[in-house]
Amino acid sequence: MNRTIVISQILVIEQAPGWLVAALNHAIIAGVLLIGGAITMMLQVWVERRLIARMQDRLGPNRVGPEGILQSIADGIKMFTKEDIIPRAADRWVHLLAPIVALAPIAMMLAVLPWGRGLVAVDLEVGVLYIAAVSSISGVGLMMAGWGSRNTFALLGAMRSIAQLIAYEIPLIIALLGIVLLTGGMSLARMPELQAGIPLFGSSIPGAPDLGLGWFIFTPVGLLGGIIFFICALAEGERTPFDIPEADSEIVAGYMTEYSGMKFAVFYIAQYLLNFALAVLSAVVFLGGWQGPGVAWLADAGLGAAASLLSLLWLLLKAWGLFMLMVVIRAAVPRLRVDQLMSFAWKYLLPLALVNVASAALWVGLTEWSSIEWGNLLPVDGLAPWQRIGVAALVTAVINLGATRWVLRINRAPAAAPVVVPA
Amino acid sequence: MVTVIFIAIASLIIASAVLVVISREIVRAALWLIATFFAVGALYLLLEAEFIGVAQVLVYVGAVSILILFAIMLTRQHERHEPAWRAGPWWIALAGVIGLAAVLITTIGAVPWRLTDDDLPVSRAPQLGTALMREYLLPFQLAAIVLLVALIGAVVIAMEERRRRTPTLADDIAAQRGAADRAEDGTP
Amino acid sequence: MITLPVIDWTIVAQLLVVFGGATVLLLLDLAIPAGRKQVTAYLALLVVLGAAAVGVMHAGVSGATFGGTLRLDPFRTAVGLVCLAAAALSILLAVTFLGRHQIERGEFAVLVLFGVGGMLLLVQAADLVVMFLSLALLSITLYVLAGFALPEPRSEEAALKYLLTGAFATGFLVFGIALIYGATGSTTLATIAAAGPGLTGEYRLYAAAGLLLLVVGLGYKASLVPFHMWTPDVYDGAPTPVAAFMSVASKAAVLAALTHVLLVGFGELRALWAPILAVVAAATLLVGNIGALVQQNVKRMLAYSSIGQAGFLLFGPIAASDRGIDALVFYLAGYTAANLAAFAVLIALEARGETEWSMARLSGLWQRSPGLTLALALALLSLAGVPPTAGFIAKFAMLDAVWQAGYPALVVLGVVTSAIAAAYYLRVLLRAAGPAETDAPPMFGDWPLRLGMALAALAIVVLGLAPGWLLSFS
Repeated sequence: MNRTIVISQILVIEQAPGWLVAALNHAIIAGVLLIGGAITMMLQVWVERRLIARMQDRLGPNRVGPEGILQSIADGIKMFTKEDIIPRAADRWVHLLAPIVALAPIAMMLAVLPWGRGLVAVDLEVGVLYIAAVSSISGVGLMMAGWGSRNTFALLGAMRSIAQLIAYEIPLIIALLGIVLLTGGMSLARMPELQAGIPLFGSSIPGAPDLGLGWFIFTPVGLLGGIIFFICALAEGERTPFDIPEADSEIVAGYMTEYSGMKFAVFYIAQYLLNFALAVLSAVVFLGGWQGPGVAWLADAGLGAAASLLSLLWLLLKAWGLFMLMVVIRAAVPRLRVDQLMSFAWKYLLPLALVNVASAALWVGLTEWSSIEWGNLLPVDGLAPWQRIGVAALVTAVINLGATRWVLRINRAPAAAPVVVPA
Repeated sequence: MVTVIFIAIASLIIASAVLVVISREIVRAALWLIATFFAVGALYLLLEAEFIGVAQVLVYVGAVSILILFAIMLTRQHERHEPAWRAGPWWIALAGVIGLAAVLITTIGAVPWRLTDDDLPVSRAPQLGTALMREYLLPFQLAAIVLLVALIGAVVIAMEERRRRTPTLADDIAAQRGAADRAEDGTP
Repeated sequence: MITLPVIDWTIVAQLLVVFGGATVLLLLDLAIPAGRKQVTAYLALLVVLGAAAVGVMHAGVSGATFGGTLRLDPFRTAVGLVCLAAAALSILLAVTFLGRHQIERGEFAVLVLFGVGGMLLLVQAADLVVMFLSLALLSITLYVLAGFALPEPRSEEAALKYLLTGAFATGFLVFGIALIYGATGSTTLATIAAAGPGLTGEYRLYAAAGLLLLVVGLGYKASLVPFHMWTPDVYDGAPTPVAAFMSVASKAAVLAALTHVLLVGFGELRALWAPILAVVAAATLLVGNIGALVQQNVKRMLAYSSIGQAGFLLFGPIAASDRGIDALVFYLAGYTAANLAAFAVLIALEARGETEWSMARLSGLWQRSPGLTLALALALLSLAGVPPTAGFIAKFAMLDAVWQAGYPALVVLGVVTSAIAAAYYLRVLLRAAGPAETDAPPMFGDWPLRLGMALAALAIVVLGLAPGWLLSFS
């Protein structure tokens, strides 16, 4: 943040009014994020196509540029030159605005994500809530696309996508809630800072080296929350096995059916960018964000810029890793049926997420409350911080494991008799 | 600067609110309503009430309007319908609106508002939380019970819907299979 | 760390029993197999009795907690006990009815518990926000309960009508609360009352406007004229035990809340609201009783008669005296017993699939079942206000209180409408005593129903013969 202010002060005359400086600052950062986003999206498409091809024992695009890396640019040029077709019956304005409404909120998500040590565009106090709120807006865009196209497939796709978004948004937010309890705040910028130190114990053991590995995923609460969050992120991003809204073998392309050319490209960008943003979010909240071995050493050695660069690399590494995991899942898992999709959200993820919140509350109680706050029922004051974390980890691990087993058991389908279709 | 932004947001709110009323198609009216909600959220942000602003977007744009759209699209036919829902002469409504606006504007102008120059605290979400746990503990708990009961009610009614739906092919097959099984066992 | 406010557990004990019991029962119900859901109902009955026991134990307790937003005093305890008694009797009446109508589900008893919890809260609330939330709680439960026989279109219609009009009325309530808050800077009744004399100019106007909107919102729930339109349709369509529960318990709770708002919060504005309320009471008496006179459907007749009774209940706050409060409690108790007994008779005669509750089905009841006829006679005579039933004492006490408060016109109107009421109640009784007109419909006399009916009838007689202990509790 500080560096960008310097940049804009170089660019702007010294007597420039404050609001102009602020506006330029934001414009520069927004520009960097958006251009970076577009490049990321192109790389994502290429990576996805190559990786899927690999899984399916073919080569994938390998002609345009080295290893086909410029394929996306070629595709983009093709999109630009395509005719923009609007169905005669369509609601022109709604049809036009739908892709924009779908993309804009996702671009807004990028603003609050901490990209590296000290690299965050806007440190919003209610960052987690902001992400949840903004990501829910793009559902409106999908609805508009489905309605504006006047196409049954499109409307069906929009309905499916909204039903899916609503169902999976709830466990997603509740999974985040557990971490909010752990960190005691909703600021995304602060989350990586709290994940320094060594696995599980973080910075609670005096004298232990700061490896930047105190990720929440290493705690029982973070593990369960992270798994739930990642599954929900797959659904929010409409990745297989949750790509029901645009199931091409069922309803052509869902809400995108009547879109062509640039408008289609905008939907496409929106989807990939959402996937990437969700991958970054998963990394920030559960995988330590920009934390990693080396960042703290560089910072302590006074090499702030190098530390920031390394932290950015760590974050991108994690995010790309998660994105590749999404791609591999797409290649390996078949699409769910609608009823399976719904019951998975409401019967598996939601109860587990709720149990996880209770675990998180218990974790906070065991690690941070004093004996007096426990009503002198638990003599926690005598324990060192790392001992308390150990106890809390044990207790929450038992709870979460038990809950997972329980949810899996009560949802087990009754032994199915073979269905005999009468002649 | 703040005034400029305020005027922009306020005119957006008013314009989209007017369009909600005069839109000929109900889906468009719903979309303008979403725009209104969103702009109100922006107004909260301008007042530096981050939490309320974000919650406004989350609740009204993310949940309420989506449900409105969902309900409209599920219940209305896909074909365009000329508005049958606008009844009565428009000038009666206009007169009523102008009358109400006159009353509101004069009233608001007449009230000696209690303004404060004190610096407001920067962070407000924790304060909201503390207030909910102290002064408003009873309403907070009560709201939880209200939501629980609403949930139970929804389940009771929705389950009833399911029970009276027409049987699907799978149900028919299951029923026939059950009948066949019973015939084999020799039990009634 | 957040320290919780100090809570006086003796005041919230009753609420904890009801809400805790309801939540536990909701979970327990999972383990109770379908077809045995009567067990859930009996457990709910146990919870209600437990809450009532707590109420009796704390009969003398007066105090406030949660920063003065929740209060307990003898009046609140008494009205709360009336609500609990209504819930208990309604559960008894419903136990076999639900099974007979194939709508037996565990959620019924749980919803009744949540509903009665909302009523207790509404009665004990000393704060407009708490009042609003508890009203929402009891409304939501009643919407769902009204639609509990959902496959039946009439039940569905009742639930939907109640929901739509109810949501509209709630809007008035919220606007009223907002205006009052704007004027006085508080939602707590005691603070509002303290701020009252200092209000000047437009602030006074806002407070008055807010109060009137509040009366609209509460008046809707108590089915006061002109907000009564929903009552006959909803009572007619809702399952009969639900109609019985709604007609007594929610009315009791809402009138108690209205009394608190008017007397505690806005006692100072009495010169404004008393005449308005007197007109509303007069209109309610006339519309309710004249409406009941022309009904051929017994359930609708009882609905209109309950509107008429609401007019009488309104005399309590209008009188604005200890005498009026005493009379209100007594009237609520007597009305609850009588109305539940009347509905119990209908339930005993209602087989599955009945849609129209015609008067003819009661004809010849005396020859078939003298017991049922006796219960019906007691109930209707009490509703009409014939000595020696509870209704007579109740009406007498009410008229006395309003007379003392200086409303002779209301007294005259009360007597005249009571005479009109006697006409339609007696018409039903004459039908029942006369010869049978149709094929005898089946009768159901399971022990829970009989017990409920007997308890209600007993209450009518006991309150009628020995009214003193309840009439002078404060």
